[in-house]
Amino acid sequence: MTRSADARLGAYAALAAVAFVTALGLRRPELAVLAAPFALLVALGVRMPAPPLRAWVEIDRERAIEGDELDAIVTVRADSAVDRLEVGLALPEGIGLADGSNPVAIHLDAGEERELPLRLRCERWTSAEVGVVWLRARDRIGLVRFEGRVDRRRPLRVYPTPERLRRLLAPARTQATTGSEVARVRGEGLEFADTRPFVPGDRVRSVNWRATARRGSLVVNERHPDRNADVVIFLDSFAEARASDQGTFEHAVRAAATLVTGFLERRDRVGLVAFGGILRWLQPGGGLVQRYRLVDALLETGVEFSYAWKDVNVIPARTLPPGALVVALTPLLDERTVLALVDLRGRGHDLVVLEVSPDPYVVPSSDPSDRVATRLWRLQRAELRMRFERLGVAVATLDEDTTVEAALEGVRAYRRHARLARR
Amino acid sequence: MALGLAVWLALVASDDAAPVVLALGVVGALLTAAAVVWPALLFLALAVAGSGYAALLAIDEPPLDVRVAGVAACLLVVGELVGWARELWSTTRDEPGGEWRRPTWIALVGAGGLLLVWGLLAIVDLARVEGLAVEAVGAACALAALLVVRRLARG
Repeated sequence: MTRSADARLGAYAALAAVAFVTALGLRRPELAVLAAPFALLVALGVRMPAPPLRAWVEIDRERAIEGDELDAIVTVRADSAVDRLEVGLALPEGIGLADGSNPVAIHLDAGEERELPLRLRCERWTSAEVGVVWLRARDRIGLVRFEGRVDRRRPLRVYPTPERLRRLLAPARTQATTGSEVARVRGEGLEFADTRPFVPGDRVRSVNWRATARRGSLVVNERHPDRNADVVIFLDSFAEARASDQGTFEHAVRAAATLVTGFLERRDRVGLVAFGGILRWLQPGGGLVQRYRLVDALLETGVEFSYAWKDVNVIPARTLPPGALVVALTPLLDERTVLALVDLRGRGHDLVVLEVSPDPYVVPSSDPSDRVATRLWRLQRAELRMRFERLGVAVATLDEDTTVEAALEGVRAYRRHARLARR
Repeated sequence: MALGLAVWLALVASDDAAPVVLALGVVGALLTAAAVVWPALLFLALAVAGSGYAALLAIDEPPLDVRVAGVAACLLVVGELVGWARELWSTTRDEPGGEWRRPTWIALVGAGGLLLVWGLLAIVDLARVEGLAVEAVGAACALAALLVVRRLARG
């Protein structure tokens, strides 16, 4: 523990010294007498030894969902008496205090162990470590204090609350494995597609007897098979716009978690590319384990500033399977991301851009030149969105007032009327 | 408290000393208020507040002044109150039942200081007839102060 002096220690010592010297100078014993209690306090105060302290932290869970409340218990034990011990559990960003006192000052007798219950609230998604306890002890005089830090960190993952989606995006192309998405191709499946004349090799159960009776020759039903799709969530982590506690990146991660949950529930294979200062990727896969992998990867992703130029070539090829539906979540603030998305579209990927709007984070200004600059910036962004749309890429805006469901509806509306632009 | 000390000293001082004592006391009180925010000013605050009393002694030249007990107790309580104010200002809250520990301690310090100074005054009064005794006490006290400062510097 680190020993430090209270401001009173120096003040009392200096005052005593000055009073003693003045007493000599003025030949007044009263001043020496006046200094005596200060000198006595200083002499007693500096004798405090470092108190032997121990602390533990227990948290009832290591995984939670946004809005959950967790129970934490900070236990402290002192082998010698401590008149005032300040105990503070360091709470990472996104974790708040729902109930209890933190930091709190307690009194401990020799050998006493005290449990301090706290209730923590998971305010927003995070991948954090909880368990750093700050201790500050002082004796009754309080002129000297000992400060220390006990590291009992344990991981705590707070998953974003996924938004409930009624409908997801239909991919342009499906994959070969079975899923919940009705494929555009024809084959064995449930959904009726069309009828055609019977050819040798067709199964008798496929014969459409009513059409056969009408036409006088054998007619069979064709069906759409149920397939799954490869979906890649493309998360832009180059730049973000943020206010004090909210930013486009938080919003993007929350939307990405919603999409991951929705697509995996549809039995699609979902992968992740976090494209930014640090490139992270996860190959497409399905199932509950993949869901946790993806959300864990999302939680560990952060906005990393970088000057390094990056393009699509740095992404491993297997992460972007041919025909995959690429859903990009980006504030469209970094040119590298914009060019990478254009490149992906050029390589034939079925691309959707969900623009996490940085507009709500623009601070309004009364300066006319600032207002003109803001208008120009907005025009540039509108032009950028139109550029994507000319390439056949649906762009929908996500902001605090727009749900992922609403943004996807915008994408679906665009894709209904832009089929010719697809490759 | 510091302002009360200044007013009290100005009231008991002679007409010549009262303005000086009051001025120094008021400045000391203002510095005390500032010391709650900037604790480095605490020494200056106590020194200026105490210098009002030193001025009173220098100008009025009373025989052995017993009011020093009250001055010492006041200055001690002022110093402790500044420390307590800073604690209350922090985000740390005392556990239920612990709020009275500090005011009780401050009251004890004030009363203890008062008794200590009275006791020392009694000793000084006994030795006052011997001029050398005063010199010896002063020198011993100065030496003690130097030792404390040296120990602090080492710590």
